[in-house]
Amino acid sequence: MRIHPIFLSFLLIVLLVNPAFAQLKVDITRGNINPLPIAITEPTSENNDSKALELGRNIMGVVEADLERSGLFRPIDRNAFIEGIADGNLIPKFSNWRQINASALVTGVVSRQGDKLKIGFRLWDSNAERQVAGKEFNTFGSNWRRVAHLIADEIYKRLTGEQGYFDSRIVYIAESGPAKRRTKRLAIMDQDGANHKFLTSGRHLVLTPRFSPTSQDILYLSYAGRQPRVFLRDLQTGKEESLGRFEGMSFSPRFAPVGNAVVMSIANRGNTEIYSMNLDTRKLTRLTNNPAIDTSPSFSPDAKKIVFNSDRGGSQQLYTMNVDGSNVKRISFGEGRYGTPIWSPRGDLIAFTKIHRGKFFIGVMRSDGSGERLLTESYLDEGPTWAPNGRVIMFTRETPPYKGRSGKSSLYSVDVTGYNLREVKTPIDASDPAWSPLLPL
Amino acid sequence: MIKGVVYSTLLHGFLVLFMWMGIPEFLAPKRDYQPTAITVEILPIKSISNVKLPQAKKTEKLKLQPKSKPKPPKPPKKAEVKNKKVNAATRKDDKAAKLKDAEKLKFNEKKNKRQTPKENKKAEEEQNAFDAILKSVRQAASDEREESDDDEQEQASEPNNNRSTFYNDAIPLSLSEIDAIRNQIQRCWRVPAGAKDAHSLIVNLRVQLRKDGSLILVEIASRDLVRYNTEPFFQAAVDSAIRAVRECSPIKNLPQEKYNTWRDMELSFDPHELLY
Repeated sequence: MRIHPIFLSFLLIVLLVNPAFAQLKVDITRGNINPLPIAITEPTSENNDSKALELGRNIMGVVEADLERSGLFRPIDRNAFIEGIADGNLIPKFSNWRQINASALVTGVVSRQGDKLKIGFRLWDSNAERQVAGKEFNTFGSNWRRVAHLIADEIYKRLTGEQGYFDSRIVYIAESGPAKRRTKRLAIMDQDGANHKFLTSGRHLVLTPRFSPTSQDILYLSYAGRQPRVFLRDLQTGKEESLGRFEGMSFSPRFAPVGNAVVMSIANRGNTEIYSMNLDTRKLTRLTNNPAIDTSPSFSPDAKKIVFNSDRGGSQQLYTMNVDGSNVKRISFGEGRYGTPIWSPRGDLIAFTKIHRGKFFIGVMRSDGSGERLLTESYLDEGPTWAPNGRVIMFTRETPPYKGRSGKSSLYSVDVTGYNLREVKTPIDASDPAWSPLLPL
Repeated sequence: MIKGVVYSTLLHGFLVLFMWMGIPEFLAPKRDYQPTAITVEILPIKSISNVKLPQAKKTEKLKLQPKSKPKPPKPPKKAEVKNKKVNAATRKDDKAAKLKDAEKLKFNEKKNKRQTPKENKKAEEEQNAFDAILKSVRQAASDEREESDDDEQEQASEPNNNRSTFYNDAIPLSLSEIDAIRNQIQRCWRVPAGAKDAHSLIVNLRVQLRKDGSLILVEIASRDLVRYNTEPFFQAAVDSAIRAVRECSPIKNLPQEKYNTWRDMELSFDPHELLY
């Protein structure tokens, strides 16, 4: 080849003129996980409209609570502020904010016209002395909570690189009454516990609600009728329908990532198998075929794989398979039993419940089964669900029974790093949470 | 014909590639190459140990006192005035959105001046207790004091000349000195824990320092700029690393005689050890 030497010489030149950077190189491999101090100021109003100012204050209060709850931020007490922001559109004096250790600063401007609300915020980096994010929202005043969550999401996204998850909802089972005759109702609330609403009356037992990843539908198991069946409910209209009468009991439903299909288990004559159903055609396809119990299926976000648990190997373990049921692989190999796997919306991890020596754990592993980490441990932790950004896990925690009374069941959330375990406040006992995707704008 | 066109495009492609990759390097300020293989001097640790550094400084601080006694009231009032000046300066500084380098330098010098009287005071308090021990030190240091005339600037520019009699452009830092830098920055760095693919979020920063360890410049290494502008995860990781450097500056206990080695360094923030 004639071209060869020329090619080589060019390559040589390119390589030669790029000398290794001749510097002292220091590797920083350790750090801390302290939350980032952030100062959130009250928005200002051009004409000092007191109602607008109050709305602005409420909005920033919700933003502050959202960020604080994430565990990644530490909002600074407003009493510590040195500088009062006179106009949220002007560049603040950064040294005043650095002095109180605020790495980030949020300012805002709010105005009102009739019931219309306009709020803009700016996020400043007080060390780099520049604005790093900013947005303006126009909405109705009644919608202020939603706007607050959107602002919190923007701030979260800019400072962590990750999508936010504050503009989302949680559906769960609200429980009341004595242990033997427990009333279980479907309930829904914002991710921060606001706008709480019961969806069902409690006449029929309901279990395992699941959010659709694309629309505002939920799937759940209801005991209405003679045998438990999977129902689909439209949150906007409140309409509910059964997915069909199958031979045997259908349970453990979950949506496919595109929302037009459902996977679930159907138990028939002592054998539980996993089926998928196309919601448009209502065609049912059997995915597993094994005398063991196969249940708790969950799609990967790319819709190519399904993770489920099965006791085909003797004890209950996690397996993955292709969406057509082929290529079944065991992925959990630790001691104890594994159940209720759920694939992270980010795709990198699978969360699960683990039972070992009478204790319950919530853990995560990579989708190939490596890197198992247990995040929580208690008398009874189960049923993990992911925040829409795959960063936070919510689950049910139950305390042991006490003096003949059943234990208290409540919702908890934990960061995927295992830090920031918190109880999620609900009006009554709660279990089986399911996190919605980000709400459509 | 076609063959010729193919060759031509290929060669032009290389030419463009060459200019694109090579020319910025030509324009960039030249840095001296120093192999990263740290053949670290276990031996010289004794003579250039960073443990000795603060000690040496102490003697210098203390020397100032006997000098200020004959020509009386130097420290306290001046200190206050200077403090005020500095405060005023900070306020002024804030008005300007960005400081020019020169101004920053001045500001830092003032800062240094401000610190010394405080240290003097402290030393005064401690003096009684340490008097006996220090007498000999003072005597030993007194000759040297006459050479370096009171000013901090000079102390900064001609540090420790009692020990490092030779001047070498590129004395590599000892392990413990690198560790000292590392520890200071690690304390300020909030790791992107829990981020997706965190192991790939390695951030390289170019940092330039003044002799007093304060920051002249911190910027993302030019090769990562494209990634910074396209990946939000990476952007956040870079910002957090820059924040760490800024919050930790000035970096303390740097070996003055090796200024040329650490004045311009690259910090590599690598979270992969921390995360699953």
